[in-house]
Amino acid sequence: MTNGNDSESVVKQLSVTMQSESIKEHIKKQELLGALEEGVLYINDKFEIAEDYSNSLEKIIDQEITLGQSFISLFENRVPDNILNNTVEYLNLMFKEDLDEETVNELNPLNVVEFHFENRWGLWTSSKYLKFRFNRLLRDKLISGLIITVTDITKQISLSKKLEEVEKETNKQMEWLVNMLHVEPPLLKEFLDVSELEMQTIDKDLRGAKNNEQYNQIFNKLLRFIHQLISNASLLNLKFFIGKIKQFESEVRKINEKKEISSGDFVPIVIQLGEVRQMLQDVKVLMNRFKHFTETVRPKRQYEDGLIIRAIANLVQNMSKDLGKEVEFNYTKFNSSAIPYSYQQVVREFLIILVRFSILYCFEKPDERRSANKSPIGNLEIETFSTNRLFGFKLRHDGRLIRIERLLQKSIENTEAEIQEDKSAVRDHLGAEVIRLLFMPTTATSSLSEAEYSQEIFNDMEVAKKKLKMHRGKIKIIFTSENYCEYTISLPVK
Amino acid sequence: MNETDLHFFIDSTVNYFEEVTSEKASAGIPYMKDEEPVVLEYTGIIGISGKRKGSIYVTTSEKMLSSIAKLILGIEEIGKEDIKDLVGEIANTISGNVRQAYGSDFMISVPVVVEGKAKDIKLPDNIQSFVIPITWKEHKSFLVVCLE
Repeated sequence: MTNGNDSESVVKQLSVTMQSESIKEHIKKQELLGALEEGVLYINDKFEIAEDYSNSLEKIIDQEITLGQSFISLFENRVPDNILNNTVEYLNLMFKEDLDEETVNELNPLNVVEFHFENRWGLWTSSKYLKFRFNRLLRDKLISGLIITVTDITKQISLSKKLEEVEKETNKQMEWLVNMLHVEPPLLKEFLDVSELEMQTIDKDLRGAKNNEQYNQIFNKLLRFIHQLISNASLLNLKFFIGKIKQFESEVRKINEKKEISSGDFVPIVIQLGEVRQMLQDVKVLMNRFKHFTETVRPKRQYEDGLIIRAIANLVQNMSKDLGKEVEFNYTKFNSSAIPYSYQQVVREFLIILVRFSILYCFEKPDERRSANKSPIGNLEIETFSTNRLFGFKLRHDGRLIRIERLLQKSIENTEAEIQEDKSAVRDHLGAEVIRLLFMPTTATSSLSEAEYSQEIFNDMEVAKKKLKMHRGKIKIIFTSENYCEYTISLPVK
Repeated sequence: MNETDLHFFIDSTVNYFEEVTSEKASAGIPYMKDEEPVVLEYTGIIGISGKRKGSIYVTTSEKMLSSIAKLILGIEEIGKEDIKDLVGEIANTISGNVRQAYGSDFMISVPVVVEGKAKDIKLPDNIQSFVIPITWKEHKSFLVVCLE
């Protein structure tokens, strides 16, 4: 083993030995060169490699050296052209008698250089970081050549780069982790799985899009996907993720405002989509890394069952507060453990959508409720039920049903004659119509932000409806126009 | 890789077709490459190293290359060698543009031409690759960009 100081003294010694041509000294020199871990070589003023170089040199630069070979040729296809050109200039300066060695050495472009290695196709495979030091060799006070020491510093450089990356990554991960710790692992896992699935759908659509019409459809899907991501991440309070998605959203909106969309407009979207995917991947890795930790403090089944309730309770609380409403959430008849595993997601999605819908549209503000002779605090209730053949859940609320009222009025006017003939048939017909209209996209809300919000809910509802259909589930609605509405969703037990 | 890089590669490829054939090519929406191979009958690959590392390849069908070769050479009978030369030239042109745009901090390899539908083209695992579908006339080709 030799260190930097050793090799410097060897270089000095070599300088001395090179000046003396005695056989004894030559043998000593060969022994020294053979023992060195660093690469040591000597070049003349034509930059040609002289016969004496250390055995380890070829290994370090991974090339065979021939006597008289140009030193510069060692760098061909190994370093970019600018470094190659700078090296030639630097070597010329090193051979100028009137220039101070130390000053010129400050310009050494090979002080730390990345050596690139390629496969037989010329494609980059790996890199080494090498340090080249140059010393003038004087003979009769004139520069006769340069002694060059080459050290492989790949390990040091890689380590410091890795350290830098780890430090950066650790800061980011710490921030994420602090944010993630309050989220129950099953919910986080579900969030990641659902997001990944949606991501795959978007990706598939991007690949299939061919014309402007499809581009517009993709934009709409993208916005819906973004809203869903924001809403799901908000539910879990994943602030770092919400921030990133909002950035993405503003990018998508900016492009969506263009009159004509071309495929090139999707470039920033695809890049950002890649970043979001990477973020999801990183969160997943982080989650898995802390799996042991979460398993150690793994919640009991009973606790896990309560997660869905807690998520909904948070939603009720946050949304009511945001909208200046007061809602009491009652879930005593809701048994989370009765939800079949395969239905957990669809139940949660439906509950979230219905709760958001009810709070946004149906519950009145306390003053309005008082004026309508109602308790100022609204009541939202959920319950589960099951038989041998099906599992179901209900959501009831005592808010107003403006849209349904309007529909009812209209429907009753249109079907007055029929009502006389067959009241029950008309009631069924009305029920179906109400459900259809209730879940139809609309922007009939009081403000733009609400309009956007409602669009989001209805888009979510469309997706949830598809999922319900996929599971062969059914939805039924019972209501009175003034103060009561009950949704019943039933799913066949598989 | 950033937006400018991706735009640059798309533009230089699309421009090549227009300059050489006087017929515009259109780029589709780029997407992130996954495990699914993106390889057609002829592929021209360029390696990039230096400040940033990666690979770029353009993969096309024999029919497309044959049509372009007919236009360029003005002959009806196109041999395999002409086709191979052409895919090499496409890659070379992209390579030249990259060299011009990225400067001397980068090392750009001589294009490698792969004939036949390889299983896939090996790209660095730790770098995200993007696929840009290119349509010229009724022919489809792909530009795959994988750059740090």
